[in-house]
Amino acid sequence: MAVSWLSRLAAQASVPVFPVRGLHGEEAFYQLALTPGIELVDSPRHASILLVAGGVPPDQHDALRRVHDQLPAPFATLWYCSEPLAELASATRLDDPGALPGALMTIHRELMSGKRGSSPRLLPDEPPNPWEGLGDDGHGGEGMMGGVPYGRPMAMNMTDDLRDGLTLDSLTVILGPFLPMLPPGLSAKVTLQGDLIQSWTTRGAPYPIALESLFFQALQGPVPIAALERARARYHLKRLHFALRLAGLDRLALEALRLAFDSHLSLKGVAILRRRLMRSGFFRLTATGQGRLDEETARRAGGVAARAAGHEEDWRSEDEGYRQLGFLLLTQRQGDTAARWRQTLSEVEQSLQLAAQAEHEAVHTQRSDGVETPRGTWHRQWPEEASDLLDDLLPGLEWDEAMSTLASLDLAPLSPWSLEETGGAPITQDIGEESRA
Amino acid sequence: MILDELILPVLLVIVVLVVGAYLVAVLDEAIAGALGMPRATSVWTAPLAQGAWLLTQQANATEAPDWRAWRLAPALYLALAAIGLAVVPFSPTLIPTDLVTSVVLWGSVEALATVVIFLHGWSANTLLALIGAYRYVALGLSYILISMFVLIGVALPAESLQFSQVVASQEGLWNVIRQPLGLPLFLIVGLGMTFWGPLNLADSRDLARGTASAVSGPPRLVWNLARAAMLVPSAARRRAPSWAAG
Amino acid sequence: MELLTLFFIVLIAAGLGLLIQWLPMRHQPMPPYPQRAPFLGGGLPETHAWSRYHVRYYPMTLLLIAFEMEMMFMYPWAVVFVEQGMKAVMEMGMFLAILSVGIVYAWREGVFKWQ
Repeated sequence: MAVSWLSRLAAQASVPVFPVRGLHGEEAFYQLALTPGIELVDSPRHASILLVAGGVPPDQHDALRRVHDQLPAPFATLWYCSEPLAELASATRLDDPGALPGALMTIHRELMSGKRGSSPRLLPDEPPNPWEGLGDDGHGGEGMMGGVPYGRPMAMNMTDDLRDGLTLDSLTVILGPFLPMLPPGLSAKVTLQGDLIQSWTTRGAPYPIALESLFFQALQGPVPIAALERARARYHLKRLHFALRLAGLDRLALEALRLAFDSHLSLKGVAILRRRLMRSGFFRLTATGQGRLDEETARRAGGVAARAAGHEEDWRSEDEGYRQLGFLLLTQRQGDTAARWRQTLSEVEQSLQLAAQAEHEAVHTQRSDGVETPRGTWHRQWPEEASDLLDDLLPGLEWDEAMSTLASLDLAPLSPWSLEETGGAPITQDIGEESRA
Repeated sequence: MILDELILPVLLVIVVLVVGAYLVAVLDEAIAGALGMPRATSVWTAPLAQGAWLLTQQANATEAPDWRAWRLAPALYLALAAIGLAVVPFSPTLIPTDLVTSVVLWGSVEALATVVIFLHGWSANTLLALIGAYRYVALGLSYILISMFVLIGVALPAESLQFSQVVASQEGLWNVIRQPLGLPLFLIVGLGMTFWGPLNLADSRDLARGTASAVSGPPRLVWNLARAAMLVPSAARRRAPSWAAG
Repeated sequence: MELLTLFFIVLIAAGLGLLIQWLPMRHQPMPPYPQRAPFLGGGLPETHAWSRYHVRYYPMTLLLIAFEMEMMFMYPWAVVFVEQGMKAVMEMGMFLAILSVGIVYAWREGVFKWQ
């Protein structure tokens, strides 16, 4: 009886969900971050539900299986706008964003009451390498060296330390594509010395990001600048949310997200956010000049990253409509992580200012042969995917610096489908207000 | 005599340890709610429900952990929190163990906490936990230095290393007024040592929860309990002066 | 007597910590190997995580020992400070002067420069 009493209490806990962000799956998690009773956790060990949102390319199914198997029992899976793995054909699939929180809570409750069994293990229960009984000391190697004690080789000194040339052990791991602190889909082979990144080889590019359909419409004909600029501000605020959450500033992260989903998004809210960001030291934390892009790479990265490094690249200054509004191109000089965030925040403010002005005068874009997306200029060709520039940028940085640099860079390619088409969450205007009430 | 000096203090500490940790968790929920985090259940049941869930969850294992150290580390951290509580003056007369050298003891708790937190991250034999552990050692050194100076500052006017004497010495003038820097510094050390809130760098999000990233189920429950319990003596230590005056 | 009490407190608290872990886990089977693999977001490590690590703050730990030694002396000194007055100040001054030679040396070696 004691056990049932315990599980009844456990069913009341907020539902710990480990997010697997698939193709175009991110919108669902923004919504969940604002939902009471759902907790998005950072490690699969801390979750009772694996939520896969968005499609996962077939070549990453093995990685998904590995993450799936790393959740401790009892756990369940939920597939949102995503085809369950073949072995899990009977798993719950869901396409309605509104039903997502309810479904998660039901699954958690059913798991706790025993109505739903734990998801089966997908991979065979075998050690990575058999080791016992081989070699001199039973580890499969010769003498003290080599072999695979307990299934894996020990770390060996392969490279000299980047800073002072001391030769110590280095660890080589493959990160991603579902590591929550990396952009969704990004995977890399990384060699670490302690927490210092010695080498970084990008293996899989981040998943394409879907923009709001307005940006696509701007390539067909004139669109209202007010709506376009609001969409831009929303995009940047969502990115800021991710970075703030990573920095441990949960409250500010939620504030940024609420602003992004606020239908009356105004300059005032952003001004408050900026003040709080200043006070929290977010800009100071990254002020050491880390993650600086040189001129050429900054141009390749495009968009905010390019302007933060001083490139005066912005399609909006070509557009008559924007000129009419007195659009002024903003740039920073340093080109490092802090500069990118300063630039982002300034651009959000500028966008809202332009939006307010354009609304008043009902200004539309004039040119439809190009558009400035939040990711960079889209004229004749898309902003290119640039995740391989990480290979030169990240070595030499410590783990936390590397992660904050990654969060400040927007390197994913653009999706040919718009946010509305991908079936992702609509621009839910009331989430912000609901949870605030 | 056995009852007064042995059983009662032990009971007091254990009760305060558990209840205090629970209240810290409740307070944490309440603060998060007040700051605008979405919250569904009541603040009073949320920590209990979370604890119950952890008890029903399977305990994770890694490929080749240092088993003994891995299981001991959370328990030892809890024991350190208990030591911290044992020397807290709950009132001028009610101190579980009024050692003559309690100031030194608290200083050593801080140093040992560094060891235990490192052990917790290191013994999992997992990359992200390991980075968290190393990160805490680097930070722990700075925390120890700060708190040392605060502790000495407290001992100077009291002419004693006994917390009851420290409390007594503040009858005329509170240390908060005499040493205005002491309180904020000590609070920072307290938050840093339990890696709470913005000072959560050992178990941070960019490491998928660092030293705790590989644990689940009951061991994680003990770890969370110990962290919350450690915050109790850190906070209580500074409450002491107000009782002395009252 | 106080030390005995403290001993029991430590024993019970640590025992409690172990008991909470052991009781629910006693009938649990060992997790399968795929679950035990380190979490890297779907990736795998090539080696164990344990390694000889470049402790960049190693000189700083040495510096900490310098400060800790100072503390060892400061604890008893703090007790008699008010009573001894000027004499105590001078004694501590002398001690700190010797100690600061070590700190100056550490400074020269570049301890305060992180990296």
